[in-house]
Amino acid sequence: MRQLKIFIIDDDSVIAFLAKKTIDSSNVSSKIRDFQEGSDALAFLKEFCDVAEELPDIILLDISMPIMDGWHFLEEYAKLMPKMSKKNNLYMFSSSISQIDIERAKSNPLVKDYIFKPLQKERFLAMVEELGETMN
Amino acid sequence: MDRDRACDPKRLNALSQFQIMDSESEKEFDDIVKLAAEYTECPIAYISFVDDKRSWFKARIGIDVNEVSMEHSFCAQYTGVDPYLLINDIDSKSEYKNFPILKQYPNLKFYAGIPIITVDGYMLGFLSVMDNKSREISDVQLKFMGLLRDQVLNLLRLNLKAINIEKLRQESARKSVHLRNLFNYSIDGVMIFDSDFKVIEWNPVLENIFQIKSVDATGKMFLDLIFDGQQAREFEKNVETFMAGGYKTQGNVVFEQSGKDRAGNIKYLSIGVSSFIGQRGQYFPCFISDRTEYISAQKEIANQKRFYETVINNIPTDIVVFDRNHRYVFVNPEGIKNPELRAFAIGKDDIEYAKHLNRSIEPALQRRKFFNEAIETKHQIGWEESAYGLDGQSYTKLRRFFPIVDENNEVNLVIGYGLDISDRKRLEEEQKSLMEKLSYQNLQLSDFCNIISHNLRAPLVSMTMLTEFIHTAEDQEEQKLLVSKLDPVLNSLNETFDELVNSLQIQQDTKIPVEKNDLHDSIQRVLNAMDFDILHNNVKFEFEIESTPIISFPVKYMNSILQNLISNAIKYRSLERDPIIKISSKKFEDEIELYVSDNGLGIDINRYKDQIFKIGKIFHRHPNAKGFGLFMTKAQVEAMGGKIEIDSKINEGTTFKITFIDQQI
Repeated sequence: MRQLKIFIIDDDSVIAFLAKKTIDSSNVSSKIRDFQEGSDALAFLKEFCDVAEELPDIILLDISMPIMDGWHFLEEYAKLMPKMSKKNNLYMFSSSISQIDIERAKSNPLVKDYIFKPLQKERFLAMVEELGETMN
Repeated sequence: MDRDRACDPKRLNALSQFQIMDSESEKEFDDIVKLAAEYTECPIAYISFVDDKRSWFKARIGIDVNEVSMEHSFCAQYTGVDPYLLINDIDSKSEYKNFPILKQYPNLKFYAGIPIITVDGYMLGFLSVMDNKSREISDVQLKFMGLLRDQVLNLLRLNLKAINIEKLRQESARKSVHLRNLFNYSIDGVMIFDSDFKVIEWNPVLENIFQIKSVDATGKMFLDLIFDGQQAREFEKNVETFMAGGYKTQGNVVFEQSGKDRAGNIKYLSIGVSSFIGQRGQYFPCFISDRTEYISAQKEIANQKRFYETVINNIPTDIVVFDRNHRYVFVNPEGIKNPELRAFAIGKDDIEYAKHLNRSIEPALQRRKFFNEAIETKHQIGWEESAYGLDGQSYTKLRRFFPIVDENNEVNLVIGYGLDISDRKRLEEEQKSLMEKLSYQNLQLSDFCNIISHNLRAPLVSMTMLTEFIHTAEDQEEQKLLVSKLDPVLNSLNETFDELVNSLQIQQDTKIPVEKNDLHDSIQRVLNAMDFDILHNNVKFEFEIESTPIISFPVKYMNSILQNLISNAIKYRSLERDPIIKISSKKFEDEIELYVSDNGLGIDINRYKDQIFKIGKIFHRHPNAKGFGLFMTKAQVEAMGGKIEIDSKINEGTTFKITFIDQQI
């Protein structure tokens, strides 16, 4: 199995650390890149939009971040998407249990699903499977 | 009698009065012709009367002729010169040859006739005798015939008398019927009473009014019949002066008073009494009309009128009626409370009225516009009018013009309604502000939920997970690493928790003492504490607060708010220019607005306006940025009923506006 590229965009470094540990424990071959700010992730995507091997298969996007929050990121990401040479699944990744946030995320076509923090191993494995479906 | 004389209208008129032509035969006339025939020794005698065409035989003997035409009668030969007409030789005269009477009686040879002439000189006819032989008549016989002729005249006169008497009788009978009809079918009750108040006549209308039959009333004292004691005295009083004239009483007296019917029901009566002298003394015709229904209808109308007036005068609505030129025809007391002004307004138009009161004519002009619209469209027009009343109070009225269209489809009247909805308006305002307050509280609640889910749940989740990993860690190195990760999570959780508790305390602590803060002093205190930062960053200040230096507010909050806003202004300064912080204030009635403006980095206000005052929100990278400051500032401002607003432009600067309420003085 090829190596999955996973982006975690979250200002909370502990959460990112924990997510990485969960993914590592799943024995799925993966490479994780984490961004503390949405603007950093955007800058990266913009720079490598035509370099498929650098682009992510899965993006975990936090909502509540300073300066550029998850929603703002999605707006910018939508403009970037058509130029990207590789498809991916984007998940909203939040501790918020607010119904407003959940509905807003699910109504956005760019968002595959809404995932509550912390990331559980089973959910991650399901994400890998969903990726297979998307790619086929 | 020649033709002209026969046709004289006066003569014909005199003749017709006797009603003799074509009348029945009468013995008296028959006797006269008998006597005439006998005494003149003639076999034939007759009495004929002459109209304009013929000679008609009223009585005859010895001849069977009813009438002869004018031109074939002997009497036509009479010239009026002699007292009689004598013809001795009828058969020798050719002019008689065509006489039908001679065809019937060819032997006739002798005629003698005496004219019947009234005292007025009108010739009515002849008393004639005839014989079959040619002969003479003696003077004595002629004289006798004259006597008989006088007798005919007597008979005619007697007849005339009888005719006139009959006429009179008929006339009298007719009149009597009329009078009786008048009496019986009069619209009014008619009674005739004598000077003792006894009833002589009592017509059917009275029977109806009082339910007393004529037979039961006649001969009785009517005062007892149709009045009670009091009413009888009233009646006597009403006719007292009139009847005091006795036989010389003339004219009549008319009055209204009440009476009663047989069952005692009260009757409102209109009574007229006059007087005449009859054969057996003085009588008083009395006309009585029953006004009971009319009076009760009047009373009902008056009641209704009073009812509608009460409604219109007490209804809390302006009701005004205008003519088509916008002049007042009617206005109720709610429309214009002052009675003198109300009276003044009638006949004036709205603009004249406003001028009279020395008021602005603007509202009147506005109404005129709607008025004309109502007249033109013939439809009701409604609008809300807000203005100041005579008492200086502002009011809001729901006004309507209803044009009244007549049968010619023209508007002659316009009814204006004005309903005072000031209270409703006030209530609406109150409701609105209550709604704002409620929705604000709802927002606070949902903010709090967000804080719980975003800012508290995240570190808790991390801690739980870290703890799990620590338990399952395979070596000590890893455990150490995991434990070290716990510290920042716990710190963040503590800080967030503390701020949250702080803000909740602020929200709950409504009894915190309010003190007078001299704005100059408060600012100075804050600036002193930040001396280093200010100097280090070369910050300049501008103040515009002279007019409103005192703010009533908790000292602790005041300092915290100023400290927060000023330190934010320095923290998020632009690196391209020296920071300038402008602090100004304005006072509006009992509110003070405080402005803190900077020329710093600014915030994308469109994107973040919902998030600026939320906990943990950070908009610029800064080592000390935690996202607590504005959250606390807002909590402190709002705890005291105030308001905080922000306006900002990226890379131009930010202005915070704080509104302090309840700032009397």
